[in-house]
Amino acid sequence: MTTPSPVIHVVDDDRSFRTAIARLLEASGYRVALYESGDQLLQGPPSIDPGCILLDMRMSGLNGLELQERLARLDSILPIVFLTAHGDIPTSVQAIRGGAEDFLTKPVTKATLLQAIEHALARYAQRRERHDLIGSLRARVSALTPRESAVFALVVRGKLNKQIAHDLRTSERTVKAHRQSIMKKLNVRSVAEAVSIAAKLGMLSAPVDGADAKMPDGHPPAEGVDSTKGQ
Amino acid sequence: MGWAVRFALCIVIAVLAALLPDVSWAASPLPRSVLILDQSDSDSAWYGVFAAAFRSTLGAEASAAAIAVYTEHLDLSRFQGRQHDEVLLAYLRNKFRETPIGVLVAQGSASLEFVMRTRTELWPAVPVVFAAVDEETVARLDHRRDITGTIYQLQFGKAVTAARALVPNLKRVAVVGDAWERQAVRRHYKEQIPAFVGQFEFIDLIGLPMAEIRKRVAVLPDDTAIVYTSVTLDGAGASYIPHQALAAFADVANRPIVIDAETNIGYGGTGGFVATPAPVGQATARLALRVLDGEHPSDIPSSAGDFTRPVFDWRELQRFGISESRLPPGSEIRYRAPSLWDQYRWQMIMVLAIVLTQALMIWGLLVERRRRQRAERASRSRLVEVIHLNRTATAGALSASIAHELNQPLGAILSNAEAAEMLLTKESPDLDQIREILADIRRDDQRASDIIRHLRGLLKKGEVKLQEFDLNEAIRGMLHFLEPEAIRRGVELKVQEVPGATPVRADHIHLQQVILNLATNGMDAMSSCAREKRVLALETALAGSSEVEVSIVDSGTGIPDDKLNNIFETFYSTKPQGTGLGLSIARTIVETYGGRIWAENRAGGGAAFRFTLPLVKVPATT
Repeated sequence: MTTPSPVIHVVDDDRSFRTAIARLLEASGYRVALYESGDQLLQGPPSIDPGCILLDMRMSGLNGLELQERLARLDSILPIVFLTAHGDIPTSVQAIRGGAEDFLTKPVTKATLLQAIEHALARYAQRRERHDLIGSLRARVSALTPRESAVFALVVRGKLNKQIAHDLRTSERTVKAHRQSIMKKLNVRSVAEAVSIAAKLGMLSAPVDGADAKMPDGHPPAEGVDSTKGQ
Repeated sequence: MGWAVRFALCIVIAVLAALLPDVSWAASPLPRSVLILDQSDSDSAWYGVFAAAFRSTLGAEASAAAIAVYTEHLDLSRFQGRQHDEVLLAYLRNKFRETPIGVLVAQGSASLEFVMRTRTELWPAVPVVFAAVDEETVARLDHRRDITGTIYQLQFGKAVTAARALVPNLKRVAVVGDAWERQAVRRHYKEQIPAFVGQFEFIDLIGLPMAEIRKRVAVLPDDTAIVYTSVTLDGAGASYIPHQALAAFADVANRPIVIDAETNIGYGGTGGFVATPAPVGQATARLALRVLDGEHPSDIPSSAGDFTRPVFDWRELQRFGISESRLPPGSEIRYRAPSLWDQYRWQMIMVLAIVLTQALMIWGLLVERRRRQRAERASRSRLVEVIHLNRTATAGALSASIAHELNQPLGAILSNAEAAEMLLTKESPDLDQIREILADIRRDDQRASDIIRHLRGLLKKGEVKLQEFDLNEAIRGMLHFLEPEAIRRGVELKVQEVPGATPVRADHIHLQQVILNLATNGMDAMSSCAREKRVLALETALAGSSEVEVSIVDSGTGIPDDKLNNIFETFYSTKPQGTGLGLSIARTIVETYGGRIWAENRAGGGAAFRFTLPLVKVPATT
C-alpha cells in the first residue's frame, strides 16, 4: 500500500484567491480541497489522508480563529497554516497559541507557502504517528476488565500490592493475579513500561478515585474523507 | 482907541447892514431847510431813488444842525400852462408863508423851467440848486443868479465803451432809434457819432419801420453790437413807449443790444452805462449843502458828473454767451437767475447729507460684507479641512480592512502568476488554463486598482466638486471598505437599494464620507453585542417623489432617548474615544446639499440614522 498524496484543505471566502492558490498547489503536486467557509469544512466528512489546512483568518461566518478552536475540539490532527490578507499581532499570537503551524500573510510567495506546507505535512506525520501509537495503547488499556483497570490505575501511581488490596478491599493474592493479567494484556514486562503507557494516555493527571479513572474521550478523525475540489 | 470910537464903528456897521440887505445875503445864515420841487408825480421811480440818495447824503454830510426837507410834486408832464402855474404858485405861497426855505431844489428840466418862470413872485432871494437838467435847458437860462446844479447828459462814447465790452472784436455798430431831430435827450449823438466813424462801420437803422428793424437786426454780422437809443414813433408811424419798442425787436436780434436808460433794462437790452438817479441825488445834495453852508451859488460851477453806471441783464449775457469778467468794473448784474444752490440750499444740503450718510452706510455695509465673506471663506476652508481630516481618520480606522481587501487580489495575482510559471515549465503546458489564469490576473488587478481608486478619492484633499451622480453607485463604492470592515468586526452587512436611478447633486466623496461615518458608528454601537446579533442594514428608499432617503440601521444598544437631540452637535460624543465630530460633520454635509438628517431608536433595539437628499430630477416611473 502506497501512501496517498497529501490533501491541502484551503478555506478562504475569496473565490479568486482560492482558485489561484489551488492552481499553484496542484501544479506543485498536491491534492487540494477547497472550502468557501469554515462551516463547509466542518460539514464535510473528515479526511483520513495526510494533509493540512490553509486557513484564511478573516471570513464572514466563522473566522479563522473560531474554526481553529472548533477543529481542536474535534481533535483534528490536521495542522493549520494561517494565511491572512492583513495580520495583526494579537490575532497571530492567538493563532499560534491555538496550535497553528504557521502564520503567513497574503500575498505569499510560492517558496514560503510550500515550505510552510512541507513543515505542516511533517507535523502531520508526527501527529499521525503519535496519534496511532496512543490509539493502540488505548486499545490495549481498554481490553482490561474494570477491576484490572482499577488495579492498573493504582499500580502506575506506585502503590504496593498490600496498599492496593486494602484500597480495593480484596486480598493481596487477587491483586497479584490482576497485575499479571494486566502486564500480559498491555504487553509490558515491567511496571515502568506500564507507567509510561499511563503517562502517554494522560492517566497520571486524572483523579485517583480507583476504578473510575477517566480515559481521554477523544477519538481519531473519522475515516473516509473525499477530496473535494473547489467550486 | 477909546470905547466911544469902538461904539460908533459898531453903530455904523449896523446901519450899513440894515441899509444894504441885498448886497450880501450871505451875511445872514440861510434857514436850515430845503424844498424839493419835483417835476413828476409822487409815484415816480426816478424821484424815489433820487430823494432817498439826496436825503441820506444830506443827513450824512450836514456839518451843523439838521436840515428840514420838504417836497412838492408838480406833475408837470401831465399838467402844463399858465393856469397850472397859477394854481401851484398860490398853493406854494400859502403853504410856505410861515416856513423859511434855505435852498430850492428843482428836480428835472421842467421843474427848473417852472422855477425860472415863477421865481420872482415866490422866492426871489432863495438860491436854486437844480438836478438832472440837460445841458440845453441850462444853456437857455436867461439869468443865472444864485443858481447852480447837476447837469445830466448822455454820451454816445459810453455806449461805445459798453459795446466794446460786449463784443470784444467790435467792427460794426448798428444804431436803432427815431430820427435824431425827434430825439430830445440824444439829439447830440448825431454830432458825436462822426468822431467814431474811423473806428467802426456804422449800420444806420435810424427811423425805420419796426418790421424792417426786426428784419435787419436778425442778420447782423458777428462783430456787431446794436445801440438802441429810443423809438417813440417808428418809420411806419406806429407809436411806442421806448422800452416797448425795444422789446418789439430784441427777441429777434442776433447781437447784444447796448442801452443807456435804466428804464430800458429788462426789456431785451443786454445792458450798458445807464443813467441812474442816486448819484444825481448825492451830487445835488452836496451842492445844496455847500449853499446852505454859505457858499454863493454863482461861485459853484454846475456839476456835470457822470451819473451813469454799468448795468447788465444777466439773461441777455447768457443768451449771447458773454462772460461777466469782460464787463466794466463795478457792473451790476440784474435778473440773475438764482442758481439751484440759491433756491434750494437747505434741501440740497439735506439731500447731500442724506446721500452722504447713505454712502457711508453702504460703504460700511460693504466693508462688513467683505469681512463676512472673508470669514465665511475662512470658515468654509476650515470646515473642508476638518471634513477631510475626519475622512482620513475614518479611512485610517478602516486601514486594516482596506489592507486586507487590497492584499486579497494581490495574493491571488501572485499565486496565479507563480502557478502559470510552473505550468509553463511542463512539457506540454495547458494553454487553456494559462489563459484562464491570465484573465483572472487581469480581473484581480482591476479589483485592486478599483480599491485604490476609491481610497484615493476618499483621501484626496481638493476643491469641493458639485457633481451629479447615482447615490446607489456611491454606496456601492463604499462597500469596498465597509464589507471587509464588517467581516473583521463580525457584523452582517445587509444592503438594500431602491431600484432605479437615484441621481443626486453633491460632492460624492462627501456623501460617501457620511455613509462611512454612519456605518462605522453603527458597527461601533454593536461591538458589545453577541456576534450573531450584529446586523447593519444599509438601505435606500424614495421619500416622496423628490427625495431619496438613506437609512443606516444597526442592531446595537441604541441611543439614550435624552441624547437623541444632541448627538448631531459638535464635540458631542457618546463613545469614550469619539471626537464628537463624525455626526456633526455628517449633518453639515447633508444640510449643505439640501438634505435632512435625523436619528431614531428602533422598536426592536438598535438605532436608525436616516438622511434625505433631493433628487436631481424625478426618476421616471415605469
